[in-house]
Amino acid sequence: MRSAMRPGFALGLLATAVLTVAAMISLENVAVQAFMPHYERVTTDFSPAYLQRELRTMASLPPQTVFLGDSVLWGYRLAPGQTAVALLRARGCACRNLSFKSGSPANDYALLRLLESYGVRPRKLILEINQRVLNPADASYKSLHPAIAALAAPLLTAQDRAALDAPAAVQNGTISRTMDGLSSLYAMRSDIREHLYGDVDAAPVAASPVRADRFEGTYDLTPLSEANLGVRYLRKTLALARNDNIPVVAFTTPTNHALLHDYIDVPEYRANSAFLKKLVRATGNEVLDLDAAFAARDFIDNDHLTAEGNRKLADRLAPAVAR
Amino acid sequence: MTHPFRNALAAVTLGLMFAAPLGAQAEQPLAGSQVVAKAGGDAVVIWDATNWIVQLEPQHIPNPKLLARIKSESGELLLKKAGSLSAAKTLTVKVVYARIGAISKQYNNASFADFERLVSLKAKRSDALKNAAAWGKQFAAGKMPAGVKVTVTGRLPDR
Amino acid sequence: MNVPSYQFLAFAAAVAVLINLRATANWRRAVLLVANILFVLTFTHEPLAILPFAALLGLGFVSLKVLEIQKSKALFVGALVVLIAAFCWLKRYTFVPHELFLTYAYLTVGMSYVFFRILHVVIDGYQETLPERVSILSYVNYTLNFTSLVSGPIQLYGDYRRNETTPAPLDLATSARALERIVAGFFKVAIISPALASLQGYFINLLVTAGTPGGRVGCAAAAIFIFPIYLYVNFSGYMDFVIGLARFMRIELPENFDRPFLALGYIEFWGRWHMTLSNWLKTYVFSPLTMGLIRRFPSPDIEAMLGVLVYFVTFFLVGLWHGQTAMFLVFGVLQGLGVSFNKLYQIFMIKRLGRSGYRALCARLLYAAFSRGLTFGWFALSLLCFWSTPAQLREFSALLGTAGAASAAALLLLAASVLLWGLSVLTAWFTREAGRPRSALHSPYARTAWSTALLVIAISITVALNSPAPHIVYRAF
Repeated sequence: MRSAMRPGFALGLLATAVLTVAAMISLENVAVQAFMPHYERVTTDFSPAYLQRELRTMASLPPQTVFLGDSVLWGYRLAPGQTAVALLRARGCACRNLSFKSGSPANDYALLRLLESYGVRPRKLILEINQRVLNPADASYKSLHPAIAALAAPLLTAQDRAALDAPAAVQNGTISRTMDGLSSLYAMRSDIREHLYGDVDAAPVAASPVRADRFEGTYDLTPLSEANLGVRYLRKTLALARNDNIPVVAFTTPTNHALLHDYIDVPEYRANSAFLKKLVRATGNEVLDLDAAFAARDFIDNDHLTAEGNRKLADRLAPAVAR
Repeated sequence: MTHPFRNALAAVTLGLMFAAPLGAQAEQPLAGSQVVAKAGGDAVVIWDATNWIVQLEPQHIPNPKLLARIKSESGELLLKKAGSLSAAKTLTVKVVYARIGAISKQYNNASFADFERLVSLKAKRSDALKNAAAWGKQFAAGKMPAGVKVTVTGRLPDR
Repeated sequence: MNVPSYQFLAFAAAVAVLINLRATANWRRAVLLVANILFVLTFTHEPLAILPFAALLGLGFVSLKVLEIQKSKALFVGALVVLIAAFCWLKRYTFVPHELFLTYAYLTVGMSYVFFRILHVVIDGYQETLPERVSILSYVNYTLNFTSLVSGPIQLYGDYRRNETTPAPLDLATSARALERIVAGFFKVAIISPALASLQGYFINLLVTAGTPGGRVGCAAAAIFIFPIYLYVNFSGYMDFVIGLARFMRIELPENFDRPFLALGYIEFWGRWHMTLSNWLKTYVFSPLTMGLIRRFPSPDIEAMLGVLVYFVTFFLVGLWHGQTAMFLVFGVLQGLGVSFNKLYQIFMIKRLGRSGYRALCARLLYAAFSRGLTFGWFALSLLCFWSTPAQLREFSALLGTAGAASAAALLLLAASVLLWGLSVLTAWFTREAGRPRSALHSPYARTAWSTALLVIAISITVALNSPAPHIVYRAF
C-alpha cells in the first residue's frame, strides 16, 4: 500500500467502503426476505416488519382461513406443530394462525383493519372469544401488541388511541427507526432470536399441581355490557368482517370447569357466555360453544390445552373450517 | 335586572361552582378494576387499587392514613356489590396493588413484579344489606363496623 | 470486560488515541499503566478479589529483585517452587487439598499467561539474559498488558521492552493491515466460531437420536472433526483481534498460529499451534531438561531416546496447563504420547531411509495427506477431554460400540486427510497469488471491500441477535 495517502486515493477507499456497506445491506435484505421462513405461528415479540411481511404474503396468496385469538390458540407451552391450527393445516386447511399470547378483541380488531388495508381478504375468520381477556384486570384487556400498534396506528381513530394502550418501544429512537427501515435483519431481529434461541413459552412447563385459587380474579363475573372495552371491540370486529363480507365462526374458549368449578360454574358466568354468543349470532355468524366441552385432562391450567387437547380442538373446529 | 335577582344568580352560580366538583367526585368511579372473582356462596371481589394509589401519590398521604382510606373505599365497594351479588352468603373485598419491577428496556414500561395482597374486608351479605346506611356512614367516617372482619395482609409501598 | 467486544474495541481505541498523542516513552508507559489497571478493574472492583492476583505479581517481582541482589541457586529454585506452588494453589488444581483453598471468589482472569510472564522474567533475570534490570513500571505493564492479558499471546520481556523504548512503526500500510486483522479476528470469533459450536452441538444431539449405526458413526466423526476447527477459529480469531489492536498501541505481539492443520507431524503441529506456549515450554522445560539429561547420561546411543522422554514430559505439561482436573491429565498424556511417538517414528524412519529418503517420502502427496490426517485426527481425539465428560464418553461408547468407535476414527482420519489436502492446495494457491505483484490480493480497494463486507456481516449479526460478547475458549485456562 502507498504510505502517503493522496486525497483521491482516500476518497476512493471511502467510496469503496460505503458502496460495500450499501451492497452488503441490500444483499442481506434480499437474503432475509427470500430465506426467512414463514413460521407456523408468530413469535411472542413479533416485529412490525415480520407482521408486515406476513400480511403482504397473505395478500399474494388465495384467500385463507385466518385464526385470531390469544395464547390458547397460539399454543402456550406447546411446540408450533402441536397447535390446533397446525394440525388443521396438516390436514389440508389453507389456514393462517395470527393469534398470539396477548391476543384480545382490541388486537383482533386492529389486525382485521390491517388485513383489510393490506388487501388480504380471508376466506373465513375463526375468532376465539375468551372471557378471561374481557376482564378489566387482565393485562391484555386494553393493550395492543407493540407491533400491531406500530402498524395499525394510522388506521385507528382518536377514540381508539385514547381507549387503548400501546407500549412504546424504546427502540423507536431515530437510529433504531432508521436501522429498521434500512435492514430487514435488524427489523426482524426479535423474530429471528426467538426462532434461534427458542420462545420461552413454547417450552413445556414442569409438571406441578395446578390449584384453583391461583386463578382467583382471572374471570370477572360482572355482567358484560357495552361498557366493557372487549365487548365494544368484539362488536367492531364483527361489524368490520360483515362489511367486508368475511364469514366469521367464533368459538368460546375451552375452559377448565373441573378446576374452576367454584368460580365459574355460576349463573353470572353462564350469563356472560350467553351474552357473547348472542352478540355474535346477532351479526349472522356462527358460534361454537366449546366453553365446557373439554375434560380436565385436556388442560395444563385454566384454559391452555395440552397437545391432546389441541388435537380435540382441531377436530371440533374442522367442520366449521371446511364449510 | 334588580340587585336581589343578580345576587341570587351570583349565589347560585357560585354554589354550582363549588357543588359541581363535589357532585362529580361523588359520581366518579373508583379507580382500578373491581373484578367479581366469585359470585355465589363466599363471593369475592378483587379491587386492583394500583391506579387509585397512583392518583393520590401527589397528595403525599402517610401510609397509615392511606390504608384507612383504602379500607373505607373497600367498605363502600362491599356495600355496592352486596346489592348485585344475590347468590352470595358472605362477601369478601380483597384489595391488591401491582408492585413494579424493572423498567422494561424494550417497551419503556414498568414491568410487573407481583401483586401485593394488601387488605381484605369480609362480611355477611345479609348484614351488609340490613345495615347499608349505617355502615356507609361508618365507612365514610373511617370506622369499621362490628360485622366487618378486616384482615391486613400486606403493606403499602415505602415512599 | 469481554475480549473481543464492542466495549473492548472502544476502550482500546481510546487508549490507542491517547498513547499516540505524544511521542515520549514515559507518556506511553503511563497511559498503558492506567489502561492496564482500568482493564483489570472491569473484572472486579473488590480489593479482596484482586489481592491474590496482586500478591502473585508482587511475589514475582520480589523474587526477581532478590535474585538480582543474591545470585543463589538455592534461592532461585526456592523462588520457582514458591511461584509454581502459589500458581497451583490459586488456580485450584485438584491435587492441592481443598481445605487450603481460599473460600471467597477472586480474580483469576489471565493468571496462567501472567504466570508464564512472571516465570520468564525471574528465570531470565537470574540467568542475566534480560536486556536490562526490570523496573516496577515495566514489570507491571509487561505482565498486565491488557491487549494480551486474557488469553495471551505470551510475549517475551525483551520484545515488550524493545517496543517500550522504540515503538513499532505505525504508518498507513501497517494501520490498514492491523485494521484488517481486527475485522477478520472479530468475524472469526463472533460469527464463524459460534456457528461451528452450534454445528458441533447439532451433531452431538443427532448422535444420541440417530437410528442407524452408520448415522451414529457419521455424527460422531463430524462432532469430533468440528471441535478442533472451532477451537482454532475461536482462538486464532482472538489472536488476530488483539494483535491488530496492539499494533495501534505500538506494540508488536508475537504470532500464535501458523497454519497448524497443515502440519505433517505432531511435533510440527505444536510448532504451529499456540506457538508462544510451546516455545515457552521448549525454552524453559525442553531445553534445560534435555541438556540436564544429556549431561547425566552422555551415551550417544540413548540421546535420541532421551529426546523422546523429554518431548513427552514437555508436552505432558503443555496439556496439563490447560486445566486443573483429571481429564486434563489425560489430555497431557495424549499430547506427550503424540509428540513422543512422532519423535520415535522419525528416529526409526531416518535410520531406515536416511534423512534425504525420509524427506522425499514426506513430500509424496498421499503420504503427506495421510500424515496431516493422522496429526489432525490425534489432536481431535485428544480434544475429547475438552468438550466431553467421562459420563458422556461412556454414553458415546455405549451408542457406538467398539466397531462404531473404530469406524468413526477411520472416517475422521479419511475426512481429515482429504479435506486438509484440499486446504494445502488452497493455501499454496493463495501463497502464489500473494507473491504476484499485480494480484487482486494486493489491491487496496479489494481488501477494503473485503474487510468492510466482513465487518458489516459481523455487526449485523451480532447486533441483530443481541448476542453477548463472544466466548473465548482459552480464557478459562
